[in-house]
Amino acid sequence: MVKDKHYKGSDLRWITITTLLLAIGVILRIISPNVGGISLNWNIVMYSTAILLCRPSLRQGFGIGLVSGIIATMTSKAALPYANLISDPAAAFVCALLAGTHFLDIKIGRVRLEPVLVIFITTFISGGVFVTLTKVILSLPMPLYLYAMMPAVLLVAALGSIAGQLLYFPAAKIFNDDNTLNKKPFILHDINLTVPKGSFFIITGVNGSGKTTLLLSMAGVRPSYFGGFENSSIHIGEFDVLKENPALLNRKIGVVMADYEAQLVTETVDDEIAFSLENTGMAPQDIIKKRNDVLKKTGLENMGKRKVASLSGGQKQRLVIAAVLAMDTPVLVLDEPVAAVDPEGAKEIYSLLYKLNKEYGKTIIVAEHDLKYVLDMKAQMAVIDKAYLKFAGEMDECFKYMYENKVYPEVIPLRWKIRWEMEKNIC
Amino acid sequence: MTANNDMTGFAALTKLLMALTVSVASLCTTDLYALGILIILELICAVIMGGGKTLWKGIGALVIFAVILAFIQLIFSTPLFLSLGSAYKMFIMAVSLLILVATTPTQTITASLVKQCRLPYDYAFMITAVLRFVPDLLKESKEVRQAQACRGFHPSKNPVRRIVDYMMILKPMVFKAISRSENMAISLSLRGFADKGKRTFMSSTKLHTSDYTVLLLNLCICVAAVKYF
Amino acid sequence: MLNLKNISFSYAGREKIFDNIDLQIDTSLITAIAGRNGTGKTTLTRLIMGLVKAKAGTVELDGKIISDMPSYTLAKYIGYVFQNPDHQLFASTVYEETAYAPSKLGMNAEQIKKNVSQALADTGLSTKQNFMPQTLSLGDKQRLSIASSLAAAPKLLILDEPTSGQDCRERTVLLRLMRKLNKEGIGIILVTHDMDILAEHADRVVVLADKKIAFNGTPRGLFADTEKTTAFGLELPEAARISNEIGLGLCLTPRELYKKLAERRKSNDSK
Repeated sequence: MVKDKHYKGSDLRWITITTLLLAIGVILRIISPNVGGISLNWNIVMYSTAILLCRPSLRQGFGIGLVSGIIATMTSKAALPYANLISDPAAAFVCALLAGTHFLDIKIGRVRLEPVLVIFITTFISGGVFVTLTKVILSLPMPLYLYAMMPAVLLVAALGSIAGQLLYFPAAKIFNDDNTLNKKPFILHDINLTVPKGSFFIITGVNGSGKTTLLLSMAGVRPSYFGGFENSSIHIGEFDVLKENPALLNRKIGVVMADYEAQLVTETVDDEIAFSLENTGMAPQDIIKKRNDVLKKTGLENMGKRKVASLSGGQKQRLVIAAVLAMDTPVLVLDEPVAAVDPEGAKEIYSLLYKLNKEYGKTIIVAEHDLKYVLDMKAQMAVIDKAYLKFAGEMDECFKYMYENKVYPEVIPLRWKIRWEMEKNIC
Repeated sequence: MTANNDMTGFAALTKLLMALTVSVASLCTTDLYALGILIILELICAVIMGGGKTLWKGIGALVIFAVILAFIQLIFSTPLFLSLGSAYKMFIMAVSLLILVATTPTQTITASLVKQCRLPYDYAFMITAVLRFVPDLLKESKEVRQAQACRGFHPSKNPVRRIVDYMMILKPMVFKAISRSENMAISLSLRGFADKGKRTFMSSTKLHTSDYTVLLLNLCICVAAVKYF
Repeated sequence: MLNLKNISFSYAGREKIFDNIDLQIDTSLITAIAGRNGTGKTTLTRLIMGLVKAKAGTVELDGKIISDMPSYTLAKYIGYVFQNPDHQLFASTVYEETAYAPSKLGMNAEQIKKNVSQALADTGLSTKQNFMPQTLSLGDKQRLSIASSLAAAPKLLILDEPTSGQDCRERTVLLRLMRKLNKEGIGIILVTHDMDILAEHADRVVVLADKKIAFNGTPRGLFADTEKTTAFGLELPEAARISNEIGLGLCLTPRELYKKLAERRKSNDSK
């Protein structure tokens, strides 16, 4: 087993899950039903759930609260915005403390009560601190505080804790199942694959055959759902993917996944490209130059100021490609890049990839089912079936192999089949 | 939320410090004239910073809220000047930060928080990323609601039942977020997010002479207002 | 029979999507809705389902006006399967997921049980009824969302791009299921931009263009006119393109293409 010196998705998971859940919290505040005029503070339910799922350190917990407080300040016209900046961090800190020590992980009968207790306490602290600060700063009358504000806090805490209890267990099941989804000892076996420099390489196989894992392995990613490598080596040119410093890896290989939404993390197109480059410490004037260059290559010029959320699916996927292109890697790996894109967008993406391959000499590796877009290209192809690599070589040869051995024959384009069968006089 | 470009040229930090000064000043006095001057000062700032529609809409909403707040206190038989005073204070503090967020792009605010206020980058990233996902998730929540309506879902009239029913909308979204978070984490690490230490920021956070001038002016007016009334 | 009369529709503050359209859909058949992006394919089906309300006009199902019914009532008659199954799966087991619609629509326990086991059997998910929906493969998830609509025993099923994201094997299974359901008497409305699927599986095709119904007929009628097809922003199915190229006349499906090829070979042999 190669032991863990490498990128692990899960290292950043506490950040990504909190981000997404807080975003849901923000919109729930807008759209959720309210009970007698009091709406639930979904932000608290959401970050408590995130903290219960990830059990982060106290420092991280405090930070999560701070983020939630700042977000609340930025998105709502709160009466006392400063109060959020104190109440949320305090509550999230306590939440992380309770979650980290498993202090309230108690059962009555078969029901685990941790979520309902933790979320009740967290919401109560947050709300309590908030209304107390409001009362003191605005010198509100005591009866208002005692008979209206505090009861409201209790009610919100009670409702929030019910919601959290209902939500947490299935969420935890998915969260943890994700980590151990494949109980098979190996997802891939005995893969020997050489991708020639500058080639257009297609990997096909049914869903679940191991395509994604293969692609991510090439990039040195070890998502938390697979354990590690055994007696394996991966090289890009001279670069040893499994042994070298992983920080250098993103200069060698760029990865585009099917779910474009998950890969876009900033508000505008310009910021998205800049994000990768800022991470590498590039100077701002170089970033601007590079950015103009990749936006032009991907046909997104003049869209720099557009909000990411306003783009179509095809445009979003092209933006992901542009952000990866900005890193100037010689190799580009794409996992079903058109799976969530309409046919017009799909055609544009494939002609872009073809151009990147032909004109800019990028080595392109794509996992794909829909081979009509690539049939007329000069490409190499490999087919994976049940964790084994069955064949790799020229696309034509690969089709021949799949046809004759009935390996995922459904994917072979009709045009190729007819051509072949007519040649062989079968039809 | 932000929509506009940084058209004023004032740094995010300047706006933040001005907001803090004016808020602290409002806490130091109970005099209605002093508070009135602070409100006028803020409104002038709002004009100079040029927040556009978002800002003025927000201010409008806060005016209504301030009136309600004063009214509630009167019901609890608080003297008029105290009721008005706390309504003024609430308005001052809420507007001070509203000016900052309505006139500055999120990226600039977070860059300033990281570079000048020592917020670790992980958290600043989370702030911008949350705001990026809000519109897309809003669309998604609509889809979910429609999909569930096609299976007979409609919110109940009983308020507690409504919260339970609401799980129908919430659960698919949270589940999707959980599986998405894995891909997002992989993508982040591949884009060099975890390489700490050498990050640059495109947004300029530097303070110029104009920044120092308005900061000083703002401070003087605040001190004077608190001191002489 | 589904009857749309004088329907006009636009989203708030935007240009009209439909301008006074009339459409009849035979609910015993598989009807495909096609058209360029932005012509309102999905909007049309959402209109039928009552998810969006038309500015003017009525929708009737078997002579009953349904355009004033809310979607959650309409679920008894029409099942609507969204493109992305992740947008609706919420329960902790496959069984519970499937039982939601019939229980919400007020069926009794016995009926629910019967409908659910029938729906799960139809969709091939009987053996997985205790699985957590989230852990299924994409193909299974999509069939589960079909099962959860079927359990309400609708007369009509609307499928919005049901094959997107699936591999070729899952796709075949799904399309076979669609045909089986149609044979059992459930009408199908299929929104798709895959012309191969449309040519092979649809009995009728409705093409939307310029805020109108631009075509309503058989797939063969549509694809026979290549110029018109292209003008609608549609492509010929792959089988038709190949058969045109090798001079076999119009073939809509691979099967038809093979049959024609075999005939040609036979006649060549006998010469």
